[in-house]
Amino acid sequence: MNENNEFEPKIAAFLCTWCSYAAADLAGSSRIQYPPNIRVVRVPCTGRMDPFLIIKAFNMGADGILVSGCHPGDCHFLDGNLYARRRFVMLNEMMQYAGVEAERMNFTWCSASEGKRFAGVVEDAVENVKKVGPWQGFDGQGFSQEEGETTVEKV
Amino acid sequence: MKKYEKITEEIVEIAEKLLKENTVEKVIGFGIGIFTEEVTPIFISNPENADRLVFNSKAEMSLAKYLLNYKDQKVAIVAKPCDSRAIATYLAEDLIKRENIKVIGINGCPGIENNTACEECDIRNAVISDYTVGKKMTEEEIEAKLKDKEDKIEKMTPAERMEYFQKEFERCTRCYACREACYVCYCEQCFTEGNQPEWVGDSVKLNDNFTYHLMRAMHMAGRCVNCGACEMACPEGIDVRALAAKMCRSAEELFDYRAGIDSDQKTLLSDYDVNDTESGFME
Amino acid sequence: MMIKKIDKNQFKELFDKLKENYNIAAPVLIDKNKKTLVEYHYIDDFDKIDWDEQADSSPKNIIFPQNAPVGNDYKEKQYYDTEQDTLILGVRSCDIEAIKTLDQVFIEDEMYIDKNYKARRDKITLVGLSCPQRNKSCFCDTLGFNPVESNYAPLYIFKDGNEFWIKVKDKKFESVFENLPDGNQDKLEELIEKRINTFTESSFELDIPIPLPEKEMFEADIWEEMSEKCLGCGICTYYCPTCYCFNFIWEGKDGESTKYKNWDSCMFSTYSAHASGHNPRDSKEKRYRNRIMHKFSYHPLNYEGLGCVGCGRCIDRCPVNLDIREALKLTEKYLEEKGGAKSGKD
Ligand code: SF4
Ligand code: SF4
Ligand code: SF4
Ligand code: SF4
Ligand code: SF4
Repeated sequence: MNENNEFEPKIAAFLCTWCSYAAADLAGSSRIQYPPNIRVVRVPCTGRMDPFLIIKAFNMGADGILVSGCHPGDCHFLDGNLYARRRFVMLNEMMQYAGVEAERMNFTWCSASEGKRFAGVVEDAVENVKKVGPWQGFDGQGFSQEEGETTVEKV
Repeated sequence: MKKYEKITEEIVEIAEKLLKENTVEKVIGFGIGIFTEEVTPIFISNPENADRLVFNSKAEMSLAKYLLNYKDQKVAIVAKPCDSRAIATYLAEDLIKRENIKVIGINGCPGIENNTACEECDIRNAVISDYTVGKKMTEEEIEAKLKDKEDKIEKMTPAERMEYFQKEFERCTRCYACREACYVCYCEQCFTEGNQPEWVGDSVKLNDNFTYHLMRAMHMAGRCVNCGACEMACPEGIDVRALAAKMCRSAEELFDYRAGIDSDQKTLLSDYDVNDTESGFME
Repeated sequence: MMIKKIDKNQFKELFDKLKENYNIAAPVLIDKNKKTLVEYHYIDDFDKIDWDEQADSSPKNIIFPQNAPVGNDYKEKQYYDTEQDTLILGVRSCDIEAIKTLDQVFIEDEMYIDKNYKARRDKITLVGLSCPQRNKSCFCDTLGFNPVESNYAPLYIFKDGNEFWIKVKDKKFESVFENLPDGNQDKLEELIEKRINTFTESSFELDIPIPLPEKEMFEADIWEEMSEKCLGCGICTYYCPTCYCFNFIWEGKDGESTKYKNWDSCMFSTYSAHASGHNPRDSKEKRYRNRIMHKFSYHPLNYEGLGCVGCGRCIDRCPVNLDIREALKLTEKYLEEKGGAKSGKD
């Protein structure tokens, strides 16, 4: 929440070191403003991204995720992002099927020279996540669950 | 039902022959327990015991996984059509040697009781076999058997879907029977068992249960053959298969891919196409 | 001892009265999407109780929950501090004997008393139920237990159609039942006698020494055959009323950690894995052997009685229908061939 009591999402941003991380750098050094909601995790390649990292981010309380790598065809490792693309498409399908809103999951590509585009991507991602509100965790309890034992329910 | 009996007869005949001629050391199949009437996997190495083999509407287990225990032995295995897809995937993933196994494939599988996967099955004939039993089903017959059922979860809103799965996974005791029953889950160390990183917590809290199921389903992408063994194994009656089955549908719709159709196809996620869809990506 | 005899309506009234002072749990039929199961749950409504079916999961879930916080390294914390007592209604002999086994391990063994378990157990009263009929795979009588009566429960119900006989064995409870109509003891004994006769035919006869001879059976060659089809899941141990293996894990949040006592299962491949990477039970036959040997050799050696009460749940619920009775039969045969079995105690 910000001072106006508006929801400010926390977004886990996985950026590949060769393109998108450099794009974020460029945006910074060119003083392009973008929302401060992302927490950047630098990855060697989107191809290294285990989809588990994204599920785990939600497990631990991220309101949304952003994954950005090199444009298809420009991968530093030639085809890392092409493998990643399939993985993300499938992950996205499954997460939406399980009831995680599409707006929370943002996948895109940004090259090292696209500082401006990167700022736009972050803006869009934040906008998206704001639309669906705070993430309540897979248990819908908003990470407020107290420690306790498994209990037998009353029926 | 006559169909099951006929299939049983043929299985016994083939198994007996294979064992007598020493073509294989062992036949993996379904049998009946000694003290119960329940179907259970049995391993026959004496031809005289071949008549213990049966096939009926309760043969719900997927036997394919047992092949991994006999990698260097010559074995025969009774395979339902879905199991034959599992075997094809094992061959594709180079886990077993084709020359070591003899597949007794069931054609025109009449289906398994209470297994909802069978209502969605459009395979019905063994995709890979050395010997076949039963009668091959034609396309029309398969079509007729398919229950035209729309997926009820697909029609829900995201919030409803979340609620549905929360209600399911809440009951999960993390006994991991769904994992152990599934042919895909042959990993020496499952992600649930490591603690560096600790992907899921050990306690049965809903947040972690949900996470476990999402992560497992992610491993099913492009590998699940929709056999329903996971769902049948679950002691809590949880709709475990739903996520994996969704992955099957998506793989087919988006990538025109089906697991275990061919024994030398690449698995979905170990391959790519430059023109792959970017469905769900940002503009 | 006090014997009372009431009908269904009177029991209902009694139930409503008890409800004020007790949390009451009993077996109820639950729809679980893909399955319908009988399970122990807390209830408000007498009519929900399922008297006829053996519960698919055991009352262990109430007495020994799957995950329970037990404080952390810096402070002892009592987590179980409810005022109200709990009654578990309709517990059959097998489960009562099973709870006795748990008590042996967690309370009666002076070497280690589990405070959390004890605090909870002290608040729980078992109300036994004379078993109406054999379930499809149980074999408590083969192991020497009495399905129609167990002495470990302070209260015991004998249900005969719509009539309920209540045996109050503990003086503590006499005041609760005082005003109910008395039952005739001889008549009840007669009924019990009659019911026990319906249990005479067992499909399963067994003659093994208890405890099983540790060394001989450890080296026996039956385990591989027995465990060939086992998947290594946790079902047989999680649903077994006597299995009590647990693991301590720490779970942290906001810079604090809590120690949990969670169920574990000896059928999991990581159960006995050492930090070094070595795993003394690295194959499923070794794990299966441990499961059987713990129940029929190690437990009887260390405590009294058996580690298995013959409830048959592990048979019913196993996804590949692995049958513990087959293992016991094989054991019998193996020991016979070895020439006369000696028990592990001799
Ligand atoms: S996940 Fe798929 S392949 Fe695995 S058991 Fe379930 S239905 Fe079968
Ligand atoms: S869930 Fe995944 S990691 Fe675990 S055994 Fe299955 S495939 Fe392997
Ligand atoms: S089999 Fe069922 S209860 Fe066991 S881990 Fe899988 S979903 Fe959970
Ligand atoms: S429930 Fe059956 S398959 Fe699972 S560990 Fe026990 S014996 Fe093995
Ligand atoms: S081992 Fe099986 S039969 Fe024995 S008490 Fe446990 S669940 Fe019941």
